[in-house]
Amino acid sequence: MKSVVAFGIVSALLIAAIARCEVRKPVAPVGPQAIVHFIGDAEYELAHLPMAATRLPDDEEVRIGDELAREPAMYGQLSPSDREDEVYINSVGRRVAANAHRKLPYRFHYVPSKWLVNAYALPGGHVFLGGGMLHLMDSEDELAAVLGHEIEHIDHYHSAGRAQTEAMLRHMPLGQLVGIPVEVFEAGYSKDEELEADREGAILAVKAGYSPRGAVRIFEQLEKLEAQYQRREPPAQSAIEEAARLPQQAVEQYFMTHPPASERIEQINRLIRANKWEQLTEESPLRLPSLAEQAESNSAR
Amino acid sequence: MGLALFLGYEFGGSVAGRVFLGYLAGAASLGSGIWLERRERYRVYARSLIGGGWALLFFVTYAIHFVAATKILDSELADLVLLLAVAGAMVWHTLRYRSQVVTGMALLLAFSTVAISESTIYSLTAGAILALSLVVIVRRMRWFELEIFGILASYLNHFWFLRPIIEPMGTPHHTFPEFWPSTALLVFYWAVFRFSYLSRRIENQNQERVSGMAALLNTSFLLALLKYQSAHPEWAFWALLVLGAVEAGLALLPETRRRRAAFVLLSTVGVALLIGAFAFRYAGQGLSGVWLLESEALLVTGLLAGEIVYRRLGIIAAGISAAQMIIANLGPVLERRLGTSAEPAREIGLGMLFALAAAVFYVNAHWIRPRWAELFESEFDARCLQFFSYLASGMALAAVWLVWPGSGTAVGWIVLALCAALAARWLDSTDLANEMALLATAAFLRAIFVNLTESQAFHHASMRLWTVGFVVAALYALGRLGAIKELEWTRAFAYVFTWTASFLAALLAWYELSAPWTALAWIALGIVLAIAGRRWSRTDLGLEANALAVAAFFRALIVNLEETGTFHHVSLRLLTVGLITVGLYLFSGWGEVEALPWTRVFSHGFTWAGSVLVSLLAWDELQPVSVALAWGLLGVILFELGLRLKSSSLRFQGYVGFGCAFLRLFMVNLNAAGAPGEISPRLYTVLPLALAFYYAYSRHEELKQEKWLASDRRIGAERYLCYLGTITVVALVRFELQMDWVVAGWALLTFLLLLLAWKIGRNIFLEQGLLLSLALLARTILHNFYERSYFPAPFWYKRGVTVGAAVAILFACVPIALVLRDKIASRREDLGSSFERLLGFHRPEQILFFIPLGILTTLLALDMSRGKVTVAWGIEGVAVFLAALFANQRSYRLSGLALLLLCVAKIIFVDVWGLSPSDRYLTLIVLGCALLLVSFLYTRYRERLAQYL
Repeated sequence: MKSVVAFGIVSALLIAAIARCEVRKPVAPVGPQAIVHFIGDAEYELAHLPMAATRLPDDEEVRIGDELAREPAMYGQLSPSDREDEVYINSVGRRVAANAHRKLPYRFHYVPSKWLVNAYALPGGHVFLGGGMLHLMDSEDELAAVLGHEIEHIDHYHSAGRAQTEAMLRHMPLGQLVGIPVEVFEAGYSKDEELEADREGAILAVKAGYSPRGAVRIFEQLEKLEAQYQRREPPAQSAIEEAARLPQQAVEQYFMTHPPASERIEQINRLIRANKWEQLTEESPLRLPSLAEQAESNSAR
Repeated sequence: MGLALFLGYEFGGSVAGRVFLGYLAGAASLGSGIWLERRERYRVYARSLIGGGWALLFFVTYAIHFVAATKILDSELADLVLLLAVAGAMVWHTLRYRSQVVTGMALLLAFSTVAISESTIYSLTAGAILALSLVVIVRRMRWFELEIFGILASYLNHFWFLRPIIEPMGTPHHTFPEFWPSTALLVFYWAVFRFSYLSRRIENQNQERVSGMAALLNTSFLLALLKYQSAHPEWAFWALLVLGAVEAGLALLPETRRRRAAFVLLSTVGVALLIGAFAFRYAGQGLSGVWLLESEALLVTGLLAGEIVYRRLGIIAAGISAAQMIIANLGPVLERRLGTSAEPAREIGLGMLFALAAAVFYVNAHWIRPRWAELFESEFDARCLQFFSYLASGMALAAVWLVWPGSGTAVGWIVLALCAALAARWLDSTDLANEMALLATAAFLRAIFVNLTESQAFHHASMRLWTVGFVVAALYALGRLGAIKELEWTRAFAYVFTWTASFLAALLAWYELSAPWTALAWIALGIVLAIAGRRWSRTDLGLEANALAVAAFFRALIVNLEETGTFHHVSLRLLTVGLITVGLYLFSGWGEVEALPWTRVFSHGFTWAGSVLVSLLAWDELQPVSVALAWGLLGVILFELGLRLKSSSLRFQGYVGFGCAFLRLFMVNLNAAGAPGEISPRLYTVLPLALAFYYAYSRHEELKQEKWLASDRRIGAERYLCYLGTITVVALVRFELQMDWVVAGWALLTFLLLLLAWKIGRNIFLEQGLLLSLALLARTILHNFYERSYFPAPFWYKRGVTVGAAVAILFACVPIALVLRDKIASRREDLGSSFERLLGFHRPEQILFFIPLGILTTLLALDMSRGKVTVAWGIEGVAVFLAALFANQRSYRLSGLALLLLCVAKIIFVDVWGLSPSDRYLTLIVLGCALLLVSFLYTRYRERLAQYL
């Protein structure tokens, strides 16, 4: 009799859960995200100890970063107005970096290519911002969020760790890392490192007096770009198709560098709630000199 | 011959001189031949001269009236008398030598002379006389070979005469002046030679054979030349009819009947001519009908007269008439029908003829043969009449096809097959049984290739349904009727018929129903067949039922699960796959064929198939997050059924269902974070599943004494279920809680597991608790201890709070672990496997004490400032020592003392050198107090402590 009752309860609970799901239709991505995230998380955590044990001293990291940043291709051709914009970016960057944990000589470079919708950091404190990325922004808070994100890649030794990994893979002594191509740093980091840089970068920006909404809004811009450039795969039409997609999805998601923008937005919103930053909504306009010049010439016309 | 030509050539000399020279040359040749013939050495040569001499004398005698260049005699009569005289003399003389060669040579030369002369019809009378002479010689001397030569010579001479007349005519021929004389002469030749054939006395077989050949040649040449000179084809019928009648009549003469060979030959020739005659008067169906009647008349005559010749001639005539019907009557219809896609016309007349032929042949094979069995004892006759049975079936087959083209054919054929089956049972006839098989096969193939594509409506249903349905029913009936008791091997036919019926029925369903309903029809038919198979103990029906169910399963898998339509607002997929699944589960009860034990696998297989379908249906019909729940529910139901019915198959399906649900959790449900402010879908979709796993585990535990669960225990089903439950909850905690709070969640789970192990006495929970505590340790070190942010976290996310909570809960586990240790110690047989020993399963209090102790010590080191670390460790050491006293655990006490020693060492080697003054004082004071307390306690309880230490 007891077993009949237990059976009834278990079955009823299962049926009730099914009924609720059918009514509420909760959104759940179908794929190996949970497992991949678990593995990635564990892998990231396991990597901390060896990285910390073989870490470069700060002055050595700065020297290597300076060497890498001297590569002629890094800057592109800067016009006088680009140089003015770079000065402005540096001012924002330094304000954000003031609260960084590691006290490094942070420098901010502008790459005036509209095709570079990216920003990246080199070991030792060099941050590069692409023209394409800059054009997505309309507030200084967004710029602060992006720069804060890159500063935290340096602050949390992500870029130094990348340099260490490359040295190991290329069988190079750590002191000779200047030969590493810049693309290695442009490509991004692991998903956890990116989320960590988002989280810590947003805190850095808030501590510098910026609104965390800047981070949310720039990720919203990136989400729109994702929607434009990524092919949205339709849902699987059969269980076999779904099963067939799993290996591919697992591999794709394991090697995916930047997490989806939606996940990044969700994390920042959680951070806002946890730190009670909901009232920090006021953003400063982007005061790029080139934009001001353009506005002046438009009004003169 | 040269002399003969010479005589015919008008070279300018006198006629009399030429005649004289001719006679002189003939006489010289004859005389020298007679002279030389006496000498043995020249005998052959001499006989040639004799023959040539007589030939020349015969020709010169012929030429003196008939050849213009040598004509000296006006009276034809006188010349004929002379010719007869010469021929008589020639025959008389040559017969003296009794040499067929000499006489033959003489006659050859005589015929040749007639042939080469420029003759009229009347000149051929010489040939007639020669033929007559030859017949006389043949009869007298019994030189029958010579007659063949005579027949050839006579008819060829006549052909030689006709050729210049006929050839210039071209075709068609017209009548010519010499027509009737020529005809008369030919008839004369035939009559002379036929008389010779009939009147001779035969002494041996060789003579009979030669005579027979001569007789055949006689008729053949006569017919050939009559045909050659024919100017009235319409008379051919009468000519052949008369000649045939005469030959047949001659065969019946008493003289002929004494000679069996002559009777057979003339009867055969006569009948052949009588049969052939009708081909010149009738055509098509009429001819076939006449021949059929003629053949039957001959057969009946043969039966009544007891004469094998007529019976065999009847059989042969029947064969010919059948061939004529097939080639000349059926062939064109077949060609016409194959050549057009239009609706074929019914051939009722021809069909009736074929039906008549079929009836006649069936009567011959199955009534006449047994009725007059003694007349058909020879192998040939028996085989022929046996063949008639098959021929009759073929004719019947054709008759049906002719009369009911299109869809009706298959129906007609299967009716014939049924009739054949009934007749075969009645008559115990192997042939009819074979014919039944052939007819049924034809109907089956016809139904497949013609009827299944027929979509025309008939009485509110398609013609296909009516006709193929009838064929199917009839095939099943043949499955019963086809097996004839006395003919054991026909049982195979019965099996084949039911298989073909089932196959055809499946195809009919495929054609007749829309795609989603086909599989349903198959499974329904399968169930009916399975019941019928059991009712009548038919293994074939049982196997067919299984085949249909398998087909239904695969079709549902491939087609129905892809269906997106609706039926009365209900999903067609849900409706059809649901019903098919019910069918498969029902079927599992009947899938086993009693006579074939190996078919038991089907019973299990169909429940597996049903479960697969339900699982896939759930995948298709439900939300992604509901699928794992549905699979879990299915698993619970199957598992419970498996227990109630003691079916390992159902229980194993339940385990697979649980496994799939568990894996699915990681693919979907754990990704379902939900929206802020609502209960997480993870929670309400994962927890019920965990409960389901635990429920199944608990049921196993309840029944662990049952022997029939041995197979489940062999695969470790209990452990599997329990681990599924626990891993599910652990994963839920991992994904549902904030990253830093996971360790606290796991600690609580460890506590609950230990509590369960204690309260319900199941050591598997202790094992899981220990494993989880190890996982907790790893996560704390790798995740929580790692500095994830340089910025101070909110209170509830501080490391001290999250890890502290975990440590506190783990320490709360220690008392339970102590109790469990005692329990385990009291039952040494429960120590478990080497893996459990490795985990420290028998000493859980050690693991569950040292893990939180290590974490706490590290946490204090990380979270306290440099000096405060020592203080914290000191307090920790004292607390541990006190607790150890309470718990009476030596290892704990030693740990507490070790911590205190660590503090002392730290103060001596580290703190005093680097601490700020305030920290230094505080540290020294606290440390001093702690040491004093310990010293006091040690002094106070020295004896007791000595026991503990």
